[in-house]
Amino acid sequence: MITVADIRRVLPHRYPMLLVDAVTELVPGERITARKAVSVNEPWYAGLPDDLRAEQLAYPEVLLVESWCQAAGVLATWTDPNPDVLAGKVMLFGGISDVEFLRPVLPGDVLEHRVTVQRALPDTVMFEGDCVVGDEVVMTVSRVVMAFRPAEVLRPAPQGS
Amino acid sequence: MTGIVNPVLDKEDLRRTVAEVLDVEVGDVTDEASFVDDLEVDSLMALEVVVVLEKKYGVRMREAELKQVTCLDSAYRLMLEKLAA
Amino acid sequence: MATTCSPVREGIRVEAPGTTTITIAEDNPIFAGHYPGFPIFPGVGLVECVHRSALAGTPDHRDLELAAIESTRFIGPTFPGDELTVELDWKARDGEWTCVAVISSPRGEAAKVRLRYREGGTS
Repeated sequence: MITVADIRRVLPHRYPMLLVDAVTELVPGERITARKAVSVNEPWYAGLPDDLRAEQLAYPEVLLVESWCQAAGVLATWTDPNPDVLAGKVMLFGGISDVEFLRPVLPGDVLEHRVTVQRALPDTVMFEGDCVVGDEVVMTVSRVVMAFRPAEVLRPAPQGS
Repeated sequence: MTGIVNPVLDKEDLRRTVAEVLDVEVGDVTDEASFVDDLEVDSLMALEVVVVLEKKYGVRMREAELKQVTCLDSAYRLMLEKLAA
Repeated sequence: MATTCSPVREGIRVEAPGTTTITIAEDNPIFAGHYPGFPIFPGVGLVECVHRSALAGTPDHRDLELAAIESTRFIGPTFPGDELTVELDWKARDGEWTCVAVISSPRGEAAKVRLRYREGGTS
């Protein structure tokens, strides 16, 4: 059984940007199924006006993608975790291609991310899959590319260089 | 071998696919235009092109072969080789 | 109707049609968890900046909803306090709209993003 403690062991992300709550299935190098419960108690819901309609309280689409990618990150790093972003190799977002949003996600929904490895190369992994709420597909992902690069690439380059 | 139909490898179809992945105009993808040098594409995107082609034509390349693909012509030659294998 | 809920609530300044700027606040809650001791603005944060800039100037003030992220290229890292500039333009395409954008930080290009929108209330 993979617990949230295991997730925190392999991912550097922390509150409020740790957007994977549980892993329900993991086949290293192949696929993962992971969950994230969407709550109105997340910081993005702070200070909003009181008269908003439901669709105005839909979960931000980019965070659906971030949550899905973090599930992919657990899959990618499961066998060789490096949660320390300051040293060694760090996992970078290479690019996203064709992510479709099929229906709004609201607080109370539980996201089930289904991620499969499309192609794995030494320092680059490509993923595809989708996200469902119950039995309804809410998002499809054609391709997400993640690259493993030395942590130094994240160092802020000197101003104006 | 009967029954196995090799998709006819249409170079123009390949050119369109490459242009789509690299997010450039089809006309920019000339036969010799280097993905990285001429089309200013980073190595990650050049890799993506090859992976998309693998998936589209149902072939699998070894890592060394992936690095050979630097322009449309080299992609076309490698795909022909793979499809003929 | 687009959601009001966003991880990037900093104000969008419309400098000219198709050009906006947004300064990423040092105290944006994202940075506490991305990453502790090493704040770096996430790639999806850049996509959100483009999304909000797009909504700040839709063609003929249409009510649009995000239908897809068609492509993104993450080029350079961005950090707390960076002033980001978004250059975007709209194209109508068979009943939907695509928004092509380049987002830059003081150190140069940070990302290229292409988004697709549909008319609001049709999803």
